[in-house]
Amino acid sequence: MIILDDKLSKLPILPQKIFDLLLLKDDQNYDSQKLLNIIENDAILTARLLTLSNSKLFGFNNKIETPQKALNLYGMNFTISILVCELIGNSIKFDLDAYNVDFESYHKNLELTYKLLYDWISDKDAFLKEDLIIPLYVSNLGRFLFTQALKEENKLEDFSNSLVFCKNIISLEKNFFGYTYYEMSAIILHKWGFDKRLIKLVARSKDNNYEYTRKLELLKILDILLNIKEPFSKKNKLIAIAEAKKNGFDFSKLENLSDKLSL
Amino acid sequence: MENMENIVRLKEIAQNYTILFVEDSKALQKQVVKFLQKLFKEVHVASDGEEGIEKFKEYNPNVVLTDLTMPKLNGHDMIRAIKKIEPDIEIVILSAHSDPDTLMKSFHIGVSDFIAKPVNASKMINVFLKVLSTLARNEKKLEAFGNKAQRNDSDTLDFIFKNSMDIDIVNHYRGVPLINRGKIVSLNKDEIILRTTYFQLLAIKYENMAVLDSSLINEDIKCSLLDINFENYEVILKKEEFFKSAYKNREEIRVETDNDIRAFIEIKGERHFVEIIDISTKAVLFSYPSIDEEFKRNDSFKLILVFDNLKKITSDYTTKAIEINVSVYKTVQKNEENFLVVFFKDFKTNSLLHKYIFNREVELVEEFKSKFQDSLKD
Repeated sequence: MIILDDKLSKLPILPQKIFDLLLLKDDQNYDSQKLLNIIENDAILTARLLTLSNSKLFGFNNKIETPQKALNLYGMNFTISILVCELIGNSIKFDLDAYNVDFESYHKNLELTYKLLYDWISDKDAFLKEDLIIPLYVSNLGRFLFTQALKEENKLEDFSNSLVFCKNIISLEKNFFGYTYYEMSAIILHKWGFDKRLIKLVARSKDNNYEYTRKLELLKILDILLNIKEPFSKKNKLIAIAEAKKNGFDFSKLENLSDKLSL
Repeated sequence: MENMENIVRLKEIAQNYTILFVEDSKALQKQVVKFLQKLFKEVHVASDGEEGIEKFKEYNPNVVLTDLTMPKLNGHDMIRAIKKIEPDIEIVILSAHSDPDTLMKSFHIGVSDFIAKPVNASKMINVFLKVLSTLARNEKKLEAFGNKAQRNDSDTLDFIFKNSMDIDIVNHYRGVPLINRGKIVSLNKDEIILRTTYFQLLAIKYENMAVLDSSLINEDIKCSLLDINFENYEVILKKEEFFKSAYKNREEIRVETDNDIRAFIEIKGERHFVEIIDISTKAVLFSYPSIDEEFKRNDSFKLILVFDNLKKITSDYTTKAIEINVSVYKTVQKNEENFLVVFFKDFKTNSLLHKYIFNREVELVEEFKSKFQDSLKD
């Protein structure tokens, strides 16, 4: 089993802005002017927001020229979630070589998933979608660490070869590292000092709270669709749809959307 | 008896400090100020969050006691603004709202303590005793360390390192600031090892240097790059010089322009072409190769900006040029070329320039990322 203590002790320092943004997200005052000030004084955040709002998936008919316009269209929660993901993504070195996944395809699939989430879940269940963007993004951080550790131990090929034939990636990861990818991601978030609620969701821990349970059920469905080996494959779509049906989500809408988006 | 002792102790400490009390209720103001004046050296009062910020800037008190629900600007927002000016200020909240959410929000923004209304003298005494004792202890620490003007900046770095404090790492890409925090992992004479974000390491690699900035240091530290370890998110820098950086005072992001913007200045009815070096929503730096004119500070004229690729910037293109009245801030001569920095006297938000700058930021950030795309992928 590969020990990851050393890698965990050498995580990058996260920008304070991440925590400022999360605080703003939790603040019931919905101070959009404050958020706008943060965005406009940071070129990275401005660039991310404007690139997304003029993209094919999330764009509109007209060009979105200013962060103010983008914020008005997306709202605070979605905007903050996307920006926090951008800052986290810029902090840690992307590395999914062990899974044969490159930067572009990984981020493309992630954005497809966000789009699906937003189009699938209605606004009356806004709490479900608004709080899943960040967990979806950070859930695979554990796999970056796995990949780096495999490279250092010269076991990358062993793992990648095992991955080709394995039916259960999670079991494979547990054999190699002692943790599932999401458990490792939760540990990373804990080291960084993130909120316990986020860590719990990322760790896929159970809870009796109704809202939390619904989020977890939805996250599991999205995990199936965003499978690291075969994202949006026909097989995984069927499994995800069945899971959605079982948990009382609108599975026929999911079916239509996942077909539409993966074209 | 214990209360008497606490009052005596509190008086001894508090007489060295000034306090700002922010409260919109006049009746409560009167009641509490009477109490505070018996303890503190100076007591200043404000009736809302906005006035609170003004009085804070004017009197620079050691402690702030504030209500939360106030007109114009609420307590939490005022506290955030004050914390930006003085991050280490001691702030005590005096409020009727003592629910867990309010309390947690308060502690997240750095509030030192909380007194629930209705006001209770005994509780106030205990809280002030705690807060002022902390203040006195910290001052003794800094006294031993020396004040900002006197201390050696190498000692400052050592202090930052030993107390695991953050330091800002500043880089630029074609005018766009790329700033992230870092932590000093090791310090050895002129060598500093820092841990930071992956993105910042890329920026340092690009510039082959970095500027370190901390509120404890008078000047910034320019450092050259010795080595980078991307696996450990660490960089080894060598201290080169201390200098006063302009970027901190800059309110707006300045970007290098592209060929899609042209500029002219109008002097005595004549238009002259100028070459923009970089631009923000408040100022522009340009060279003026073909103008035989001597400029001095505060000279005013008209600047005309022409945007040649409007479709890239906006879907609303009714005009491709804007005129701005500007005032000269400074003149620079470099390699026999003359440059001017001018500030905009009248500037409308959401104008074409604003949109151009946002678009340019996007382009430059994407350019930077794609330059290092291989690094990001590997």
